[in-house]
Amino acid sequence: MAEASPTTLPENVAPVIAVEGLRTELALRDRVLPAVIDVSFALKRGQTLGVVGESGCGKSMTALSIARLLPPIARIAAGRLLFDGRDLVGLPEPDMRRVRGRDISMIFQEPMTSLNPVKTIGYQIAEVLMLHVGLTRRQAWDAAIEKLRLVKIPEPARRAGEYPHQLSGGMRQRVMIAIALACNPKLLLADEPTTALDVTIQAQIMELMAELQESLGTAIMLITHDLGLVAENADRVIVMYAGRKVEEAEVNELFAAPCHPYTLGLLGSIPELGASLTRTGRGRLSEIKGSVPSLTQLPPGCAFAPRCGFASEQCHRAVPPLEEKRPGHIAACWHADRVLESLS
Amino acid sequence: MSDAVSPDVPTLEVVDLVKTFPLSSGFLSRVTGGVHAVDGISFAVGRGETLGIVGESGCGKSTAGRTTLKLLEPTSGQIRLLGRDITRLSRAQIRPIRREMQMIFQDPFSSLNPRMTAGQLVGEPLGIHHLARGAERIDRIEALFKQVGLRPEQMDDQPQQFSGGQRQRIAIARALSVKPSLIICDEPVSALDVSIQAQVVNLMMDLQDQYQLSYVFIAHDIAIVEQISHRIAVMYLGRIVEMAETKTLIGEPLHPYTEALLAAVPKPKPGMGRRRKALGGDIPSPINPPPGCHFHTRCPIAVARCRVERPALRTVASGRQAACHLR
Repeated sequence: MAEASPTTLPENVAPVIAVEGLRTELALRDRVLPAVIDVSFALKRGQTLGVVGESGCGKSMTALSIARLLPPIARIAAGRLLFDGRDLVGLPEPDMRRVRGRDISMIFQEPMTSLNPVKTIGYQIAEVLMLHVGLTRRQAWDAAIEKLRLVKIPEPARRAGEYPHQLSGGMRQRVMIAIALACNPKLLLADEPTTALDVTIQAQIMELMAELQESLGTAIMLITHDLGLVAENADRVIVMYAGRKVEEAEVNELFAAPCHPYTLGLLGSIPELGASLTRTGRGRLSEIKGSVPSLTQLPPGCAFAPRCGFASEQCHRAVPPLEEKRPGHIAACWHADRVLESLS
Repeated sequence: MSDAVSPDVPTLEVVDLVKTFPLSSGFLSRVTGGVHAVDGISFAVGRGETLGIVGESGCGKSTAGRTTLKLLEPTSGQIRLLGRDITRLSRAQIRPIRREMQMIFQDPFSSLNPRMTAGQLVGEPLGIHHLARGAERIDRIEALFKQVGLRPEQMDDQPQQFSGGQRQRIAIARALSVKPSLIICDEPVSALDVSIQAQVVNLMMDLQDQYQLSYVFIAHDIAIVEQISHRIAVMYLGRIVEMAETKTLIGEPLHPYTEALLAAVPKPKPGMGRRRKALGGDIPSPINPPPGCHFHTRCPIAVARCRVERPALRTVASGRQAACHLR
């Protein structure tokens, strides 16, 4: 295996998860497409790692690789997933099943499709506790009510007997969190956990996750397209584009000094609330021209080059390596110095 | 039609619009009540103006848009397009008027017929309204393609060959083809990636400036709404709770719900508003909304009066309205 690309975790703290040189491929009828290309990162206890990028950038595929829940056409082609010192790649499915749900759990975007519609929510939480903690049916039911109380569902004893369709979207996502955190997992993979929710409900859910993280010390991988959510909730951020990690830094650093033109473009294209207050008339948003490349037609050099205002001939020819551009801040761009200069 | 109208007449005027959906229950599906999806809203949109309508799920913003276009039959109230009352027009009577008002939907994946080519999709309204045929029609389609940033060579491609942002460009070209006065846009960019959202919003603003189009821009994302709107109406459970010029509404919101909505938006600036207090409670069901002010169950400043008496949408200052007993 090729040497993994660099990460910037301090040497002294053992990470909960260390992903090294992950490559995940999709096998189509006539060809193989890379969905995740040489992605490395590490995540410590109690830390939140934001993973941002647009559709098809490989952020969900990275999470599904870690949980070993990839769809049948996808497979991990290279890399290591070191969890608690054990490589999850190649772990037999029965062992993986014990890890999943107990040590690693997931929350997805749409709670309605992740919950079983014909089982009560109390049963669905109790099931996890019976399976992974070995509680009896009676104990598990009581514990389930306790978990519902923990995620602030009103009247938890009554709600436990209800079915998913009887709950609002926000309540269902609370139940998902209760299930995900039922066994005090070390790692929570949250894939667009609030995207389907209204903004006032989203704020409640993020607040709840932060509270629970504080008390349980869970490491969270927060996958989202929403840079605002990342700014408020992540400690570190990874930016992905066309299957690759293109930038990683601590959250303040990344927003203050983006080194990759894609990150710079993303930051510019989000409308900022309150922007109208400081200008006369309507302003234009800065755009990133063109569209996200399809995995079937990745350009030979830097995948962002065709849309990039900084691109030179070199960019179209060779993939830029991930290098430390500023202290603790890595990016994959041949022209990071010019990107940084453009900020001032 | 638009040429004959005096400039003082707003493109669209909606007065006390109500849309109720019947609720049925039981074995014989007897009608047992109604959901007031839109509960008496009034607004006007001038020429070249964008009115943003913002709110969360169940607030009735989409129903308001559809009822205004008479895609849904209004229960009561009045809709005036370019000064003409269209509220009670039959389907046949409304057809020629449809030219003036177009709609763009959220999902460019399901709103475009996959069996038609992009060129046919853009040209179809021209045929329906007998506006152009043959070579003239092709020329018009070509011009429209260029205008929305598509290449004319893509005319023979099918919608599924386009990306989400390009499909929304096709939808915009299609709406634009009949030279409407008004376009109602229901979450037009919320299914798109962030970098593509900016492109589409910029395009819509450019086209508006060029053709003096009126937009009703319906969305849940208040930052996007702020970007494109001259004025904003905030809806909660079927009612407009506040309406003002964009700067006023964003800078000095009056209604507690507007405040909460603004506070809930995550700011793309680390360390700014983390761990802020979220608005509690759930959005009540529109089937059984709370009495009095619909917002009182979640309102941090509600008093006894709010629980029984519906606050009227009052004019607080020129061009500025709010529905709150306390503000």
